[in-house]
Amino acid sequence: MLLGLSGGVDSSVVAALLHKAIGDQLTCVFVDNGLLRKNEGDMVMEMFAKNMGVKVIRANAQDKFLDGLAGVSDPEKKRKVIGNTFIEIFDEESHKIDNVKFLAQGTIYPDVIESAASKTGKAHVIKSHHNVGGLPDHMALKLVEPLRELFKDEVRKIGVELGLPYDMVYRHPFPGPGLGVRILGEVKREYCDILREADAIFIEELHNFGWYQKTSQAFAVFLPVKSVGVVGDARRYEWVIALRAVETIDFMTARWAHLPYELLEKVSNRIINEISDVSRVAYDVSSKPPATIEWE
Amino acid sequence: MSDLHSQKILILDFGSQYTQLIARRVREIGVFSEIRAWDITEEEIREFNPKGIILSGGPESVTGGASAPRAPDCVFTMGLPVLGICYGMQTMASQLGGKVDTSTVREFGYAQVKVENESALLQDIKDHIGSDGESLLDVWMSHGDKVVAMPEGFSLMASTPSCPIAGMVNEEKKFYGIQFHPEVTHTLQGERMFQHFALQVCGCEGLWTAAAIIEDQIARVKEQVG
Repeated sequence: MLLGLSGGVDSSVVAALLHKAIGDQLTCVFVDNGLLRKNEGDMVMEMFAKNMGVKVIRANAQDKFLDGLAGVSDPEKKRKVIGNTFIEIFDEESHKIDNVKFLAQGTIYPDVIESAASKTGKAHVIKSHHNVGGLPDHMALKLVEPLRELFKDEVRKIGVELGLPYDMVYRHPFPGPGLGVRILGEVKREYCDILREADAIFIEELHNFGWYQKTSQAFAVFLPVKSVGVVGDARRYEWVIALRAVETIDFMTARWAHLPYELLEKVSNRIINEISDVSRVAYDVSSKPPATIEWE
Repeated sequence: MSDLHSQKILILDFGSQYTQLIARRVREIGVFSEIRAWDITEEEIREFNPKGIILSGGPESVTGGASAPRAPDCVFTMGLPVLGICYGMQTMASQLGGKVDTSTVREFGYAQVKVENESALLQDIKDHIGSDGESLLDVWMSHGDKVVAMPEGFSLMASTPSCPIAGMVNEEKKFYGIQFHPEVTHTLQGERMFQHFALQVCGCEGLWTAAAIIEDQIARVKEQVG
């Protein structure tokens, strides 16, 4: 059985569950697209391969993704490139495994309801869900979807019950295209590295101040504009990082989080001091609606 | 392995933004529930074989004539307990011979309902005691239409000044209708209302727990993979 592991909650819980059910018959493919959060790839490998003993193949495909993204600045086109490259790599890796008969997916109950509702014409078109859409059809695999009866909160509950760490199970959601949609415009390796560091500092300080669990989603955004700063006696002309943190119950509406000034000050100081390519930090005070949670 | 899915609640969706919350609340108290569209067939309901049925809220008006969504008639003739919430209460009233009116006053937000008759649903649930010693509940309202005449066999369960029939009950048939939304956390003791309905009234046991779900899924995967 084959499973695409993303590091997100749903696929992680599927991996833990299937490992418990069928052990070695499960092989996971983890596609490292270079658009992950800091240390995320290593964490996935440590958790599943080392700690739990799950068979995981890590496909280091950063170059392929970044090559594909070169010169692309339209958000929808970026999503397409990332999605298509993922399918290509996943397909390639899965052909290296003998005797695959089943494909496991982290489909959850709201996805099922949504597609059923669209049948009756009451709801909108099904979103192409990152773990439902477009996986290799021609492989003629049978689908295994052990979470298709469960709501997200139930997935989390069984996740911790299966022994996954709380930090992983209750982590903020992360978009399928990853940092690709948190770098405005064209994605470059340099931008990814800067954003990853800035984001890690922000998240670390949210934890330190006890605000991580109080926010539903928090992250840094890379703005490809340069702004002037003064460091010591030298003028610096560097990039801008925006911080976003929201509180929401259902992600349909969201309010920007009223983070304490002390926290924002600390994050801003650390980012500008520790990352020499950043000269300015801004905080996003837009709520949804009208602004979306993600910037792209 | 005890069959996790042997005792379940069917939720008929009339299009409310809160329908998924109903399913979650029922599951949180340990009972499996599924959401189906309101135009489900009798055969499908029998195949699903629920221990009870919940009718969700919805944006339509039962006064809208033939186009108004209704519950399949069998819902009220299968001998199963039924809980109608908001639109679900209105269609229950209308389909069983009561009357619903479109009110010019729409009501959104917090309301305090007076418990007129506890019934099994509201038994021992009170948030406040009023000046006449009556039980009061803090609930969340979101409606325009309201039931103005109960069907035969029903008695008044709860009321507010602007919505005199905010709850109705036919204890013999185990039919309950409430105009407010127990699935929304603003309704302080909504969870207990679902407990009363699913556990006491429908007789479900609360088998749906994290450990049992894991065990069940592992068994199913093993069976599928062989």
